[in-house]
Amino acid sequence: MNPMVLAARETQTMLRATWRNRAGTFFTILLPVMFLLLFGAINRDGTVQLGPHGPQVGYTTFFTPGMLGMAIMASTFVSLVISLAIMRDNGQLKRLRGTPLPPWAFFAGQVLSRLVLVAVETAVVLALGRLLFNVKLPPSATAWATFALVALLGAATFTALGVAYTRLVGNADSAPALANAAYLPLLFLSGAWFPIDGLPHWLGSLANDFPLARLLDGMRQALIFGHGPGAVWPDLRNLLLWLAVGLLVALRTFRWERAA
Amino acid sequence: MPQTAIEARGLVMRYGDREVLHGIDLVVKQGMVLGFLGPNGAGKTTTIEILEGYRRRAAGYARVLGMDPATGGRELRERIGLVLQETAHNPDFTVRETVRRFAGYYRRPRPVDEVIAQVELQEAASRRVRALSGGQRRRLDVALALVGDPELVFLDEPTTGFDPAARRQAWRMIGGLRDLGKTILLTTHYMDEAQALADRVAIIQAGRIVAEGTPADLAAAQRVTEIRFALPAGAGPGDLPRVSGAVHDGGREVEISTEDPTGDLLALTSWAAGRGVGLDGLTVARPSLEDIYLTLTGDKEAAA
Repeated sequence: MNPMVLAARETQTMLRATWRNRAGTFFTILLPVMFLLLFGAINRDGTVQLGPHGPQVGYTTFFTPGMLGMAIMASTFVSLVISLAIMRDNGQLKRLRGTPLPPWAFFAGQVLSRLVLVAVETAVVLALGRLLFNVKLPPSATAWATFALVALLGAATFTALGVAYTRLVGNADSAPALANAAYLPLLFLSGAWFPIDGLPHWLGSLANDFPLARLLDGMRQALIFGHGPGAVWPDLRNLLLWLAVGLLVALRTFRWERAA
Repeated sequence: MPQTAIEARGLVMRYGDREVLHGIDLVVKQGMVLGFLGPNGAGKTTTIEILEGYRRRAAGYARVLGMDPATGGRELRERIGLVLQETAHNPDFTVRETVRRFAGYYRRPRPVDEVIAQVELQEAASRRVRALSGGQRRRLDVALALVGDPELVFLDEPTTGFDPAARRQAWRMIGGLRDLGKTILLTTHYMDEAQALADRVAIIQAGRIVAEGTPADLAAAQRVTEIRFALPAGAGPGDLPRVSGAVHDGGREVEISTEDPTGDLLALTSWAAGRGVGLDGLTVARPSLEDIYLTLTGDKEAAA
């Protein structure tokens, strides 16, 4: 069997599953879009200062990449933790493991289907930000490429971390709570909604080591300032590191069956 | 020609310090249906999950279709079909989509609609898995086990929870598989199911095989005949004549397990004739597979 065909079929299967269960998954995925509309409408003329000595930018310009980060983490990490826990609990994963489908093809389907979702969401969030709030878009092809690189790497990183995190989830009932236990504090501490300047120094620098802060920073560098890949290298390096950690833990600890 | 589909010798399994299989021997010839019986917790599922490649044995020898199941991987999975004891499928896909998805995992799948027809799910083919009845879901499990055109099929309690009509239907289907020359390892709690479907039966008890053979062999090995009748009105259990067999007192229902049915029947009927009463509901029967099973697994008293 052609490996590419298998992976493509799995991707299609997962996308169809998401579409069929849109009531269950779209809320997680579309929440950032709703937030964008609400917060943007409330605060459309506001400005924020980026860092203690940083420049002033429009709130919606700041907020739109924040919602992109939220969308990326929701449709990779959160949705993956929940759906893998359900499939592990009810025996779907075990049954798949009993077919000739190679595990990598299964995971390729998970990753690729989520990258498609992320791409669609990114387009929707950027288009709405542009149309409704006149948000700045990357000024050059280099900035666009940098933005796409950061967003893709972020999505891949949070996919790997989601698979790894599944090991901590005992059963499907606790999966949403445990996924949110990582997701919501990280959103807050990483400054997805508003700049976090008042944090104690140690907490601020700790939050900055987590991948969401670096994903947001990288996207803002490209979107707001039109920076190229060189400027976001520290962010890329951090994301690559987390990607490696996530992959290693996922490969070593993933379970196809629920605990006996 | 290797005509053995499954060969296991001295399979040992441990979970931590607890040894749950103490040396299982099992041989299944190609084209044969083996009924694998035993109470819950005896080791049925552990044994077949070792053979399916889900668990690694602690010790012993195992070959499934000539491959070591612990390392057979994808090649082995191409050639076996599984109905797991508990399983699920994406509830939002239709029956046909689910079968087609699985068909895509195999090198030489069978036509999707043919497999759906074989498990008699044609009417439900466009229905979502979420909307299927328990029996229909189980038939979908069977369809997914067959779609890769396997040589060997593992059926772990395929009819648990079925109503009698659905079970008969499932038996017809499994009988059809046997007629196609598939090798089948079938675990079940229902003795009539093993009697109806299995060429040979293996009984496992507390991690050991306690009996193996054709259902007729097992019955012959028991050498006992069961005599049953209702105690006549006015007679107590103590009034019965001496018989050579063991008398199980079931209230008004008397059951005698005997190796000398002729002598015991003579004694009983003479006794009844002498008192001028009848032995209502008198039956004389070879032990059923169920009786043998209960005797071998030590549940006779509990079940009586």
